[in-house]
Amino acid sequence: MAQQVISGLAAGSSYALLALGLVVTMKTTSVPNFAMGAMGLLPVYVIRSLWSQLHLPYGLAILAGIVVAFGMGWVVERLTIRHLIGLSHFTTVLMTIGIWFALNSIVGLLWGYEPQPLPGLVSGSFDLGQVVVTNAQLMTLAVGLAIAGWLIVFFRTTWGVRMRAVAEDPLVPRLLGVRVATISGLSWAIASGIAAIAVLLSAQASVLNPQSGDDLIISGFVAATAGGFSSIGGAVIGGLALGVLENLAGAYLSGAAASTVALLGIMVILLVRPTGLLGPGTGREV
Amino acid sequence: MPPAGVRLVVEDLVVGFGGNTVLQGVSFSVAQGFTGLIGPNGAGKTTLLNAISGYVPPTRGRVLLGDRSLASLRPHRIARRGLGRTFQTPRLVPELTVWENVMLGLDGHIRWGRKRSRVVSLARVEELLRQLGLNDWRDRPAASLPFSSRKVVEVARALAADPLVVLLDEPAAGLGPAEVEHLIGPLKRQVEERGLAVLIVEHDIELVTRLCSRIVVLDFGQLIADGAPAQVLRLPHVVNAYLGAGVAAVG
Amino acid sequence: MSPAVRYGAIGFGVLALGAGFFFAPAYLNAYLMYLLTWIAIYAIAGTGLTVLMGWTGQIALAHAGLFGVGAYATAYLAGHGWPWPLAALTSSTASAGLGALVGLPAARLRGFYLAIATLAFGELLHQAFVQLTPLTRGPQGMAVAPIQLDGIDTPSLVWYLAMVMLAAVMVTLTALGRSRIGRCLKAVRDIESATGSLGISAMRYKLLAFAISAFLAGLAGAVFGQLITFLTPDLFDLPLLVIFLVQLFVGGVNRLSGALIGAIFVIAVRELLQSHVVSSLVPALVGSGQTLAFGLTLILVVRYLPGGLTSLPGRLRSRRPRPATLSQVE
Repeated sequence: MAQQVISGLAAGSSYALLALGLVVTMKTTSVPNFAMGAMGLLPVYVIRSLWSQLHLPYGLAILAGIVVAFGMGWVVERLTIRHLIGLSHFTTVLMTIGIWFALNSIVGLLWGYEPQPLPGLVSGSFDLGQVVVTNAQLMTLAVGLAIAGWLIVFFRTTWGVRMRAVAEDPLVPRLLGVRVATISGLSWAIASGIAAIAVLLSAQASVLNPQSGDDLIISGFVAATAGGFSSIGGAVIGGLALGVLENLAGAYLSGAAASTVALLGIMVILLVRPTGLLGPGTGREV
Repeated sequence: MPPAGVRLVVEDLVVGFGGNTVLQGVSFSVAQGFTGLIGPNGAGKTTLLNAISGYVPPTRGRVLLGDRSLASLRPHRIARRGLGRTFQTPRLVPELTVWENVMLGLDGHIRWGRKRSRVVSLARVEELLRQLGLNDWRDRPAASLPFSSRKVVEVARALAADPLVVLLDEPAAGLGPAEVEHLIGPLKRQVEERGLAVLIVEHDIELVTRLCSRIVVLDFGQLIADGAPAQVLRLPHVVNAYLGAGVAAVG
Repeated sequence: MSPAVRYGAIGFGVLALGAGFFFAPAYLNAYLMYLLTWIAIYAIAGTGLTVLMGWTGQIALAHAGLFGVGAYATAYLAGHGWPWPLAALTSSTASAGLGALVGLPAARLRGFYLAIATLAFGELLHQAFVQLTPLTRGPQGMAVAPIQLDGIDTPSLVWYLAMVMLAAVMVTLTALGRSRIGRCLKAVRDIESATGSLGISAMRYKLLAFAISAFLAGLAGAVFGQLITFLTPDLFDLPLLVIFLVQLFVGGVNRLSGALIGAIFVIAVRELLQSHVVSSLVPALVGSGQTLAFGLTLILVVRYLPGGLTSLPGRLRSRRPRPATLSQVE
């Protein structure tokens, strides 16, 4: 059982990371980004190509890929989302679904649908009593927690506070002399970078294919929903818990059960506590 | 059992949001005819209407419509018991025509609640459109109407189901003097012909004085006066709280 | 034109159109008939989305799955000796029940939370098609027994079925849209907060809209099974969802005619990309090209033409300055 918990935590940190990307775009531009998985997917393919075709060192390829992710996030925001600010979620949901499928098929067009392996970043493992922990799992977890920690700190810095202010009232940053467009572009760039890391870590653990982003998006939504789309801690805890639950269900029930945990989880959360387990409560609107 | 003619009784109503108490034990009653509800901005007038119509749950106290308690009923149940209301800014369906918007006032009531035949309902809508001067507009989408006409449509909609009590939230705001006359004429008729009880929130004191046999004054969530306009508007604390010297002269 | 003449003309048009559709199998080539049937099936499913997303304003992303429920359940029941109409009706009703179930949170959820919940529900249904092998044969696929009627070949029968259903659905929904129910649905969309004060239970109407649209998705799925004759889970996954969304938004989310125009659009785009010219020029476009085209279409429509194609005439008209009708009230 402890073994399942360890692998669950590792898988869960990818979910948590994708959820953090969702929380960032939600907090700053109030857009529920259904394209988050696909936005993380494309840079990872770039990373793979840089490494396998241009023979860049893998670490450098990853850095370059994250820069690509930043740029792509910025461009996507600039081309589509910026024109929809202030419109309903109905519109932005559909827009991001369009982006999701466009990006996914671009990946399919350029790189094909064959699963592709990624090189290991770290190797080796150690025993913790009865449990075997691989260094890769440890690294995944560490990266997830580090980014979450960084985000918590970041949202308290000047730029972070400005980002949050944009979501609450677009007038405030204008009064502070900050361009809303800069802030929302920046937030999409950051979210996109985080999503790329999420997809990368999850593909490291298995293989990379055009579905890698789709597999994460629902899990990411579950985790983000657990935190009410606003709490970073909630998203992390939600992601880790989901990973553990999936692994336990896979081990003790069936493989099919594992893949439905996230789907059932989100329905249950939304039925029981529509604003998220750790999110704020709401009153009835008049 | 409330005294004869009384339609709506508010008993010791307390409403709070978080740590804020917006209504602090408000009690009054609304009888057939016009009752005015006045008070400075932020006194809790709209909250009071929301609490009566079930949009905001009270922390204490209750509301009786006729002689039945409305406690813990959802807004649509309360509406079906015979409570109509309007909102400060009219809420119409933009793409539907004026006629359809007024029909919406009946739609929730047909087949449920009080029995009425479809023919009677349609006749009722026709009557309201005619009395409120909306006939020329009936097939226009609500989106094409000016603000003032939208307010009139909303009043017609609130009256369509022939309610026992109707709550009007600043019906005259944004209307020109002639439009106000076009609105209150039919309202008076409804009161006379159907025994309607109207609770009207209004800033136009002159209108309230002219229309209402009784007014209640709300200030900081408390009822500070309740009585005939002529007397209430002379009370020093009412004048201090709200009216100011200029309007007191009218009273 | 006097009303008598106008109704006469409309009646004549309907008759001519009906006759055309009736005799179509005799002179249409088989492939074109197949495509037109496909359009009719998508149009039926699309009208359901018009009711739910257009009229009631609820985002719903579970309809590819519900379409699959109609297809699989009908094929399963008909395969077990049920008469096809009864099997289709039962399956559509089951789909309506599932739709109401996923709509249950809609009474409390707003906007994107509902989108997430329904997306997850659609994926759950897709998982069920994959996993419930005793019922669906899983990824291996399931053959659909063709419906039989003496004297008519199956493609013609499916044609008549799809066309009659589409006509019936259009007429019924047009009437529904103008009725009390249509008004209440639109009130839930535009003035949900005021519906309570009108004695309208927003929750009841949301559930009704979910059930109606899920029923239509199921019904369309039932006919789709007859058209495609072999069901695999992947037919009812995310790509179909995107097709439905493109269809809805290209056509115009608010109008029933938009569902039909949108269906024509998606089938035309698909055929164009599969056509010999395109596939010989850019072979890679055949698979991913479709999804790319639909993804980009969705982006462009949401960005530049939120009302869809059916809003174009109105938009063009409103460019001209309108006479000042509003001054009459003063």
